[in-house]
Amino acid sequence: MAEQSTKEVLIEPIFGANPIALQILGICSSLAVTTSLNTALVMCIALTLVTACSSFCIALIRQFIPSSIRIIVQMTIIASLVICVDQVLQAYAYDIAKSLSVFVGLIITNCIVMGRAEAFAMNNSAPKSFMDGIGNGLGYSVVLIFIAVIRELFGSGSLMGFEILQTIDNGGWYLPNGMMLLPPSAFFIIAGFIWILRQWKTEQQEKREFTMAQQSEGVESH
Amino acid sequence: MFNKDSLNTLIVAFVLCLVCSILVSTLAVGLKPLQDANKLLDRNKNILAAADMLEDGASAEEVEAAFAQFTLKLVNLKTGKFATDAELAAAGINTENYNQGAAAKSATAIVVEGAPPGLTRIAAFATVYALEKNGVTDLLVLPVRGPGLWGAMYGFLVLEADINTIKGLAYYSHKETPGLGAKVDTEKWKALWPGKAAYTASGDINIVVGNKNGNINGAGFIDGLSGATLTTAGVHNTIQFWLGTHGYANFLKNLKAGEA
Repeated sequence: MAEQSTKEVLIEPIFGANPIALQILGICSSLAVTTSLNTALVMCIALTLVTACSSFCIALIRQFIPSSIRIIVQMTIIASLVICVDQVLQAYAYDIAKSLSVFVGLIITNCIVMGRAEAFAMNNSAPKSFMDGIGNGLGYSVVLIFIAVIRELFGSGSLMGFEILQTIDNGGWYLPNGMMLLPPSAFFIIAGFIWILRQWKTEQQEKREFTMAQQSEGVESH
Repeated sequence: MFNKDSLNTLIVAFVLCLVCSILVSTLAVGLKPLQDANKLLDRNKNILAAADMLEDGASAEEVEAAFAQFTLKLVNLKTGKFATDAELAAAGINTENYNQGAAAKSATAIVVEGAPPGLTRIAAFATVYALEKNGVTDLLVLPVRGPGLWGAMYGFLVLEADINTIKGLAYYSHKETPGLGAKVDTEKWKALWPGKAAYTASGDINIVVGNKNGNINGAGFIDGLSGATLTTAGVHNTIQFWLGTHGYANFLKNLKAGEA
């Protein structure tokens, strides 16, 4: 890959090389925290911060990291940052920390954070790695917000807790689609997102691994 | 013994761990008071919400002022009476710092055979919150917990001055499915509870939650949540357990008779 400018590093992961849509990383948390837009937004901010800061720290000390323990070093830095985020949330945004519960801790295992640390931060300067972290965080955020908007709007008829489609339960007309609130719906929506994205940026379409053999032509009977 | 590389590896690992642990522990210790205050405020808010005494957007000070009207008491579930100082001293319990959740896991817990999952061990002492007017109980807040679909559900059951009429049931912590089981904490469902009698005149449990769990024509029937059969059953079992003899039944009887 040619040397990327800082701007490209920041913008490219949003649609061009989206970590979820192109690399299919970090799917697990996008299933779990997207039932409401509020939690999805906080998760996006938390993940973006952690990815950016961990990439920054790792890039800063990349020359000193012995290659034999580099994964452990990366994990230690990421885990420390995630605990910091969790502690700060519990102190200053208790309600949100409660609704995110275990998922903040699970940022540690989010493949995007680890992937960027290993693929980018180990070979690039600290400021650039920071921007790369922000960019990938934004790419993750775009997908999460897209999924969360659809799931909350059609699953509960509201957005950020404000009622948009008045549900039958509250005397309105809209019958909420319960499936939207269950994890499988996020799979369908991610697939839809990827399809839309690849129609727009056709270079992301993967080549077929093989071509199907020609169907043998039916012999018309007389 | 070591070559230069492995020594270097050790030094890097050691310095990194030291820096990270100092960072994490400083933050954790520094933010601890704020976090504890948040947890306490959250619990108090939930108690007030269950008692229908919480105004929307109440500040931390207002919550504290409203909560100050409540007295914290410990109930001995074995005797069905308020715990005496002697009992507490024997068990080494300080009322202010008592942690019912931890006590349920300790050796002093009561073992209940055949109880719903998660309720086979309960703490011998239960924390209740009483709002008293002129020395008479006006509101009684009883903590309840029980199994839901995905995990334990924690809530408060509030009884009115007659120690029978339910003022409200509020879950403050649960893991139920959003949009389905999680409706246990919506206003619409909670509105079904006030005014229901906990016990019938003959002293049996009156409450039935969900139409699969008992007489749907009784005075104590509370409609279940559609699409959340297991959550509904969980609420039903929770209420049956805590209003039953392993729960608060004896205590409530004694309190009514003025013998608690």
